[in-house]
Amino acid sequence: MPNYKIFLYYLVGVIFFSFVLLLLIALINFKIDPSNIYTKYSKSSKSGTESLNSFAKKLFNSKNGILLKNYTWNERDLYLNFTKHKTDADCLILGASAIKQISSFRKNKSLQGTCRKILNLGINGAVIEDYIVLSQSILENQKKTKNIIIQINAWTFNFNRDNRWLRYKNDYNRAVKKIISENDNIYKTNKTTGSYQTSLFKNLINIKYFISSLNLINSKKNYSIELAKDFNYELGTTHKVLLPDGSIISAAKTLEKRKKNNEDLSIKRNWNIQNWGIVPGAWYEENAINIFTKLVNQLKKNFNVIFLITPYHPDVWSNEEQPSVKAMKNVELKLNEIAKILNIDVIGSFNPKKIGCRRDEFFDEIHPKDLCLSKLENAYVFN
Amino acid sequence: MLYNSYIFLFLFLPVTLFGFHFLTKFGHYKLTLSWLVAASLFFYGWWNPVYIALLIGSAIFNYTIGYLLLVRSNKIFLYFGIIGNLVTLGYFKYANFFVDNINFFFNNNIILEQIILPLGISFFTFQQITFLVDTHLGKTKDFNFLQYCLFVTFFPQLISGPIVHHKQMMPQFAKKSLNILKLENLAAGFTTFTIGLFKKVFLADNIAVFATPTFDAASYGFGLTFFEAWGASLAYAFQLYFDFSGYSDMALGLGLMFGIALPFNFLSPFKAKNISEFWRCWHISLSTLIRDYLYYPISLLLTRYAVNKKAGTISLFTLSMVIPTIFAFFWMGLWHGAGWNFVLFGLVQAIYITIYNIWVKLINIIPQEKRIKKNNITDFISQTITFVAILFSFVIFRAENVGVAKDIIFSMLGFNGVEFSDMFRIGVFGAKPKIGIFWILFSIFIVNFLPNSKEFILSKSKIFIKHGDVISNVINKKITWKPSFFWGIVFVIMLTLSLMSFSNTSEFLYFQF
Repeated sequence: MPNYKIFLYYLVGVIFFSFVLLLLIALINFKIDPSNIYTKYSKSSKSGTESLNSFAKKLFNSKNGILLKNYTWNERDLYLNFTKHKTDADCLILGASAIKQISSFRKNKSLQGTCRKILNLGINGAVIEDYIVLSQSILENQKKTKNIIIQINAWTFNFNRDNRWLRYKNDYNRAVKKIISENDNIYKTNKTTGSYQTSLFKNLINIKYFISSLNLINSKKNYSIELAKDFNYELGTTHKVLLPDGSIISAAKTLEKRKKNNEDLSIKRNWNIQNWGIVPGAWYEENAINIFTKLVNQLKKNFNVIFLITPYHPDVWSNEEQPSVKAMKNVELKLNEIAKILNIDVIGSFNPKKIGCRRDEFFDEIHPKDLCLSKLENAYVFN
Repeated sequence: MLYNSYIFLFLFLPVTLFGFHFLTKFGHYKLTLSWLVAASLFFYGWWNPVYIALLIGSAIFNYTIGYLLLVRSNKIFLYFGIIGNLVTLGYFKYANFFVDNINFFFNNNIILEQIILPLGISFFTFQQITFLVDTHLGKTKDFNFLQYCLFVTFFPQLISGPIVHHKQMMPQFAKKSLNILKLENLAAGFTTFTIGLFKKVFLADNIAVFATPTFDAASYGFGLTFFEAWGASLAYAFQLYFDFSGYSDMALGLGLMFGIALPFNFLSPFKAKNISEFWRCWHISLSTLIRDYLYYPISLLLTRYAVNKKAGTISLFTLSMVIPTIFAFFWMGLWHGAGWNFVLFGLVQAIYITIYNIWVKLINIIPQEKRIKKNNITDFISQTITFVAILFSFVIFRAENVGVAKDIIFSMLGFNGVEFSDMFRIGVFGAKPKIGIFWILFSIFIVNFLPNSKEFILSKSKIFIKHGDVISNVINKKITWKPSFFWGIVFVIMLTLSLMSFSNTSEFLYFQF
C-alpha cells in the first residue's frame, strides 16, 4: 500500500470512529437521561402534563409521600406543576436545595411561628429565573395561600448563574414580561443569550453526564408512581422520598453516609465562590435586584411576602475573610436593605451563630438538617 | 479563541486548513500567506478585537525598525526599537505593579485603572526584540513584510508560544518551503494536537480541581495541613506541566498540519536529574532566548572583565556564572508576571543553578575512579531531589503572594505538624481524597514512564528533521507513534474523552503571561 494511503486511512479512521463513539455516547446519554432533561414527560406535551398532574394529585393526597425511584421525573417540571394545584398550605416556600428539609410534616417542624402548613417548592440550584417562573404561576393559580416565603442565596441576585432553569425558558420569557415592560432597560440588558437547545446538545457528550448514565445503565426507568409506606423520617427508607409538603427525605443509605461524613468532621472549610458564579467584589447585579424588587412588589399585592436565609456550616464561617463568606455578608446586608424599603420581614441568617445551629446540625457545608431549620425563627427581623 | 473549544475545532481550524491547502495547491503564494495572517488576526481578535490594532501596530513598528537597521545598522535604531517594545510591554504588564509598589513604599495613593493584559504580548514582544537584535548583528536574511507578519501572528504560537525565532520561521514561510498537502504531516500534526488536547482538557483540568481550592484556601488565610500542602503543590506541578506542555503540543500539531515545524518546548522536564537539565527541558523556547540574549552576553562581558583583572577562582566563578545566572533568572521570573512572587521564583531558580554549579565544580575535584558510579538508585535520588526542589519553587510561582507561599512551604516542611490521619480527610484533594491521590499517581506514571511528544512523534515526522531538529536521548524507543490500527484506537479514545471534557472549558494557565 502506498505510504500516503496508510496516513489517509489512519486520519479518516480516527476522525470517523471518534464521531461514531461520540454518537454512541450521545445515544446512551439521551436514552438513560439521568437528570430527565430529554424526558418525554415534558410539560409541553399533553401526556406529559397529564402525568405531572397525576403525580401532583397523588402526592398531595398521600400519607407518606412518593418514592423517587430511578430519577424518573424532572424536578422543575414537577414543582412548576405543583404551583398549579389548589393547596391548603398557608405558606409556599421558594428556594434552593438548602430548604428541601423545611417541612411541617416532620418531627422537627420548621417555621412554626409563621406557618401552619407548608408547601415546599425548593429546587436544586434555584436561581432568580426560577423564582420569576414559579412566582408568576403562583400569582395565576394560588388565591388562598397567605405567605410566600422566598429563600435568598448568596447567588440569587445574579442572572444566569446556572442553566438548569432554561428547562422552562419559554415560561420565563412570558413571566418576565409581566414584571417589566419590553422597553425596560432591565429587559434589554437581561435578554438571555444562552440557547437551551445548544446546551442540551452539548450535554449529550458531556463526560459527567455519561458517568451518571453509566451508573444508571442497569436500572430501568419506572414511570409508575409508588407511594411510600410508613417509615422513620430520621432514618429514611430504600429510596429518596418526596413528602406531601414537597420536602425531601434522602434515602437511608445517603443519610447514613452523610452522618458518617459529619462524624469525620470532613467539612470543606473553604467554599469556592466560583460555584456561585460570583466575582469577588461584584456581589450582586443591580438589574437582578431591580427585577427582584418588582417581583416582590407584585407578589405583595396578593400575599404576605417573607424573606428567608438559611445558614452555612460553622466551619465555612470559621474564616470570614474568604470570598464566599464575604459574599454572604454583603448579600445579607443588601437583602436587609431591600426588606426595610419594602416592609418585609426577614427570617434567618447565613451565619449559623445567629440562629444557634451547631456543627452536627448540617449534612454538609451548605445543607442544614431539619433540627437547624427548626430554629430559623431565632433570627427574625420585623420590618 | 481557545483550542479547546468547539468553534475552534469544528469551524475555525477546518476552514483555515482548507483555505491554506487550497491556495497552496494552486500556487497562490501571496494569497496563502495573506490567508494565514488574516485567519491568525481573526483568531486573536476573537478574544478582544481592540487588541488586533496593538498586534498589527507592533508588527509594523518592528518591521520598520528592522528595515532601518538593515539599511543602516545604527545602535540608536536598535535602542529605539527595544525601548519601544519594552515600554509597550511595561505599560500593559507592569504598570499596575509599578504603581502599587510606589504606593506601598512611598505611602502614595496614585490610582491607576486596571489595565487588561493583551493575550500573548510577552510572547510576541520578545520574539520581535530578538528579531531586531539579530538584524542589528546582520544575522537576518529574510525580509519580506508578509512573511514577517506571519512570523509575528501565526496563530498556533501567537498566544502562548513556543517563542519562535525568525531564523526558524522565516525560511519556512518562503515560497519554495510552503508545500502542498502532505498527509503524513497532517496525520502527525493531528496526533500531536490530540495529545496536547488530552493533556489539557483531560489531565490538567481534572488535576486542577485538587490544586486550586487549596491554594485559594491558603490565600484566604486558612492554615494548611502537611498533606494538604503537599497534595496541592503536587497537583499544581502536574496541572501546570500538562496545561502548558499540552498547549505547546497543540501548537506544534497545528503547525505540522500547515507544514510548519515549530520548536519543541518541553522534553520530559520532570525526568531531569539536575536543575540545569530541568531548564533545558522546561519551556525550552524561553530558556533558550534568555540564555542566548541575556545570559551569554552578560557572562561574556563579565568573564572578560574578570580575566583582564586576573580575578581568582571564586571571583571568576561569581562574575562569569553567578551574577549572569541571577540576572537572567531575575528577568525570567519577571517575564512570567508582575509580582514579587515571580521575581522570587526566578531568584530561587538562580540559587538552585548556582548550588548545582558549585556541586559540579566540587565533584570534578574528586578523581573519576573515586566517584560513585551512576546507577538507577543515584538517578532516582537525583531526579527526586530535583523534582522536590522544583515543587517548592512552583509553590512560590502559584501562590497569591510571597506571604502565602511562605505559609504553604512551612506547612510542607511540617511546621504546622504532621498528622497521618489527615491524609484522607476532605480538606486534602477537595472532597474526593482517593480520586485526588489517583490523579497524582497517574500523573507520576505518565511523566516518568511515557515518552514525551518529541520521542513519540518525531520518528514519523520528517519535517522536524528537515528543519534541524534531531532525535536525542530517546528513552522509550518502543513507544513511538505510527499510523497503525493500535494507535488509531488509542487516539480515538483520547480524542473522544477530550471532546467529552469540553463542557467546562477553561483557559490555559500561560494565557496570563
